[in-house]
Amino acid sequence: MLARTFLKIFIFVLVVVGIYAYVGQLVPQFEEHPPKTRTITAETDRDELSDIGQELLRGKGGCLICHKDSETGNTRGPDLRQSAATAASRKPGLDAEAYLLESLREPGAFLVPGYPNMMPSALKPPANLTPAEIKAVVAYLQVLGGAESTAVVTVEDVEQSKRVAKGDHRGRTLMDQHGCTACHKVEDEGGEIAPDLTGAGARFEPDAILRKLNDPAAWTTPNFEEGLMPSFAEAPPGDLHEIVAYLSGLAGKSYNPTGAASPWSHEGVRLGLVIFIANGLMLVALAWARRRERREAAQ
Amino acid sequence: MSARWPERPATPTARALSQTYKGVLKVSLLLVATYVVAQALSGFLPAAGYRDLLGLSNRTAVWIVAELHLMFAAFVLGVPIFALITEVVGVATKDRRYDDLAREFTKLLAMAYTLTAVLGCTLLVLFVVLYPKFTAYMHGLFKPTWALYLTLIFAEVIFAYLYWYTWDHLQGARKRWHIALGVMVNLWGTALLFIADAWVTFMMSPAGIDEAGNLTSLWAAVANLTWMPINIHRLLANVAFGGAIAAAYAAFRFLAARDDAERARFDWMGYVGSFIAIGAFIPLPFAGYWLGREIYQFSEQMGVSMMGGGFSWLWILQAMLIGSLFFAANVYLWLGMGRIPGAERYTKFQVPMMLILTLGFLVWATPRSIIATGSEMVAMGGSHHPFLGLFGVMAAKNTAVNVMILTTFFSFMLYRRGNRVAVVPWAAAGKAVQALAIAAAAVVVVGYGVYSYYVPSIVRIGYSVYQVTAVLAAMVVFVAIDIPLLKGAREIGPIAWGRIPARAQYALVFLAVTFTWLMGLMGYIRSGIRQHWHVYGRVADESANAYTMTHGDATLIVSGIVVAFFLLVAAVFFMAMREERKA
Amino acid sequence: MIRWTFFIALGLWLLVLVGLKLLIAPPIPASVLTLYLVMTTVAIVLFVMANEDRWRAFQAPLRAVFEGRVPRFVQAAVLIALPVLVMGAAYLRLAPTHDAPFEPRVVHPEPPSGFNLKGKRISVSGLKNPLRTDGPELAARIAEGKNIYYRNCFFCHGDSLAGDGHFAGVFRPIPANFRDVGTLSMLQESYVFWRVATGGSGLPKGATPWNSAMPVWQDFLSEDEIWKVVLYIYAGSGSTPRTWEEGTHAGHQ
Repeated sequence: MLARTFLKIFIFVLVVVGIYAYVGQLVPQFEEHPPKTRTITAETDRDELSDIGQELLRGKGGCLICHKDSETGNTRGPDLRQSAATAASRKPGLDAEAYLLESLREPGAFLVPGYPNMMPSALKPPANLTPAEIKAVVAYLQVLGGAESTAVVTVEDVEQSKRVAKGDHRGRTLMDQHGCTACHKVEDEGGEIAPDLTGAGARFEPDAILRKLNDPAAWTTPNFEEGLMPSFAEAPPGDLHEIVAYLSGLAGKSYNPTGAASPWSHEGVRLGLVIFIANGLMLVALAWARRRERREAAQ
Repeated sequence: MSARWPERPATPTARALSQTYKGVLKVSLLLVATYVVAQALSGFLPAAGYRDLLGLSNRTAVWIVAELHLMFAAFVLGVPIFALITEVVGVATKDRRYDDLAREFTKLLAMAYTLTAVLGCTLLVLFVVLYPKFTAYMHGLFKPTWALYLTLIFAEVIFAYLYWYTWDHLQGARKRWHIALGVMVNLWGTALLFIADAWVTFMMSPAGIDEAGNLTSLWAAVANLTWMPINIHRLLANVAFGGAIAAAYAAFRFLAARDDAERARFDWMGYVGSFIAIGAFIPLPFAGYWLGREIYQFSEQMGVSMMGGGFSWLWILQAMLIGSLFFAANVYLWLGMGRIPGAERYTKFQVPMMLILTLGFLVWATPRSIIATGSEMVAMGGSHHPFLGLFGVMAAKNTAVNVMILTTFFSFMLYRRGNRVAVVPWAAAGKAVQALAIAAAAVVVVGYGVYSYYVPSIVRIGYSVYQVTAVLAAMVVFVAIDIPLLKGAREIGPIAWGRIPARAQYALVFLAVTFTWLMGLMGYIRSGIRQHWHVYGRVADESANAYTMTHGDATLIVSGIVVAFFLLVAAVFFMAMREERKA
Repeated sequence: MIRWTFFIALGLWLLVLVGLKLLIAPPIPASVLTLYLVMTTVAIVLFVMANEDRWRAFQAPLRAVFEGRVPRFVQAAVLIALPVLVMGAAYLRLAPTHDAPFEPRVVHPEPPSGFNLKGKRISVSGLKNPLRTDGPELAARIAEGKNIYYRNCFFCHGDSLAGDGHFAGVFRPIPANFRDVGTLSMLQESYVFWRVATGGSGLPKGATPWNSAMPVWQDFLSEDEIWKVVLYIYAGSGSTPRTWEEGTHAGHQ
């Protein structure tokens, strides 16, 4: 009887759930993917390269603050729609691609008549493009001018770009913010008072670097003064992890802030404490009840 | 209880304490095991930002376990709330039946606690193993709340087991101590819920962290924009959900009953359970509006993505589910009137009520973005139907749902007075005022509904508040008159509990399934609108499963979770029944 | 009356079907019609089931037919009619049509938090129309907007702003009808600005299928010109823009 009732109800549940699931299939179906982060590699094809170039030109590059690539726009700089077409004839000895590359890297090398020398190099802030990104912009400019793009990104460009981008590592910025670079040198920048940290990632495990940051007295590199380094235990842990990740990264080690340090590292103690107290309380209460029980039995 | 272990010469207090200690020990061992497993796995597995579970996507694994944990947690947090209320009613009315009912509700809890804990621990291990980096980030932010959460778990377990095991001992003069235990259970339970909500809502509407994601204020992170609305929303939903599951249990027992006495008992339990479920369900949409408002407040983009963007289709599903709930609730009440002598006087109201409910449901479920073929679009002169378009907007839907709530309330009031005839001298006048209250509320709701088409949306949003207030006011007036009106009323005949068709019990099961599915769906929407973010706008989900899946796939997973939940619940029911047989 | 429950129910169902099909112009799209009919059916069946007497009366004719208590020809008619009805329904479902397939389209997809306008980053949230002022210059701006509208938008969106311009018929989806209560007045001006500036290609994935023919107007018009057109289409269609709620984004920091 029980099993049959259960079966009947279960079939009823399945039918109701089935209807809901079916209706779920009737509404429009589409997947939404997170926005792609586009990276330029030597394999990036021509169309995509010029697409990325367009994005850079309109976005990160900030080119449209002075130039225009459509009917309307700013005219402080030359109209970019014409740039590729006239590029080949601008400077003797330079073809279109070479000229465009030069004008992005060293804008002052050749000035289009009628325009002042006011453009900063695209390699430097505010545009701060990488060599590979500059190639992408050139590819877009060529396409914009109605031609096939000839700009090709080489493995060398990509490598160079990576080196440039490294300066952007948050860990590096944080080292400036927390004052590390006042004493330490890292990647040829910084003070001389304390050891060069460029090779620290190779010499120490990430955990060790983190320990040193939290407790500078743990050890001191020979030939350097002891007790000089302040403790960073009060600094946000996220920042410290980021710095350790950066230093380890210089040595080619990938540091995942969680892989080494277990997420529950200190929680074990707390957990044990809570369990201990809860069990202890219960045992005390039980003992009290038993004693009272015995006393009652004795009476 | 005292008859169960006659060989053990323990006093009731000692016995209750030792049973409770068993529960505490169980939870302790479970937590230690979780800790050891999590530690061992995160030490043993290679470092990674994300991991897969044996080929199953990390997101689906966490989703299923989290939702199941949430459902059981909702059950074990919701049931004590109305068990306590029922118990207090029993004390106040000196009606022994209420105390038995409250005991029956509580009996379902003991086993459900264990399952909740097991699911919670599994979830924790899954978080640590599948999302190590993000879990560590969250853990770092919310460190103090973790310790508090652990402490509260023990407090909750201790009081919940004591509440159950001292039921028979703490009767009569000692009843108030038992009620105090019940209050404690609910206090700790609510605190647990609030803490867990802080983590969840932080992910939706982060606050209290700087640009780099470092904590600046723990309190700001906890008390973020959506924290309180989710707390209230979940508290109400837990009661509704607990009531619906308890009613389904009663329906199951009714259908499997061997004699009339048992049938009568579980018929009554089913009725009370469904009453609690519907009662807690009625204010739920308002809590939902508040939550929606806070989401818009936090991020317009998130709000539009939820209501008007990709997720808008799921609200059509939600409308269908809620409309079905109203239908099922009314059908159950009307079927129940068949066992009340004298209720046939009110059968005539069923035709207009069904008409109103159906029309309300039609408006409520009319999609905003209509699926139409090219030629249909040309015929409509746009992607909006000139006539149906009027029903697609929020103004119409607010009106429809308020009218449906009012109708269901009226249905219930008719049920209440089924076998009673008011004898007070002012009966006719009282009834007239009641009718007037309902009519006035209906006029206000429909009036504002129509008028809101002529005002800008910023004003229109305010109107829904008036509509809600009108409905609530009408309910209060109606009940305030009803209680003295029916005082000492003449009874046409006693309610024949147990004499109800089996399909009424299926209506109760339907309520439970629909509530559960609705919860799964709403949970998905709440979590899904974060899209490819772990913490919205701050910490991106960089795993392969960061994409938003199709609605079809999502509903299939929700359906799977619901079926799994009911299988687990069935196991709990069987355990509860076995205990009963043993006794 | 209760004796005829079955026939009343059947009649009511047919009445609803005919009413929805014939009385509403323009015709309701099939998807909504199906939704309505399913709900009507469920409502009728539930209503009949909700009372023991009605339920029994409803079943009586069915039992009579299937238990053989009616004349043989009635039985035969029912037993023939039922499969024929099912076959007919199956045929209608499967029969090929010339119609384009369903276009499940989200009419107002969520705007991005910001977008690029001529290289400038524009944040959509909290964005207000800079040209909407209370002064007398508003009328002049609307007039300019009207001018721009007639030079650019009118061909598709039409003279009356009802999405029925000369070219409207060839587009799927058809151009937006600004007179519809569900379009302009539901939206903030920032939203309209975003849609005009980025056009069909600016639609997010949520707006599938991604086939709007709306041009990217930021390539043809200046920022001010777009704002003026936005002013005009609101004024011309007699709608008022949805406004940002006070205090919005206060909690964002």
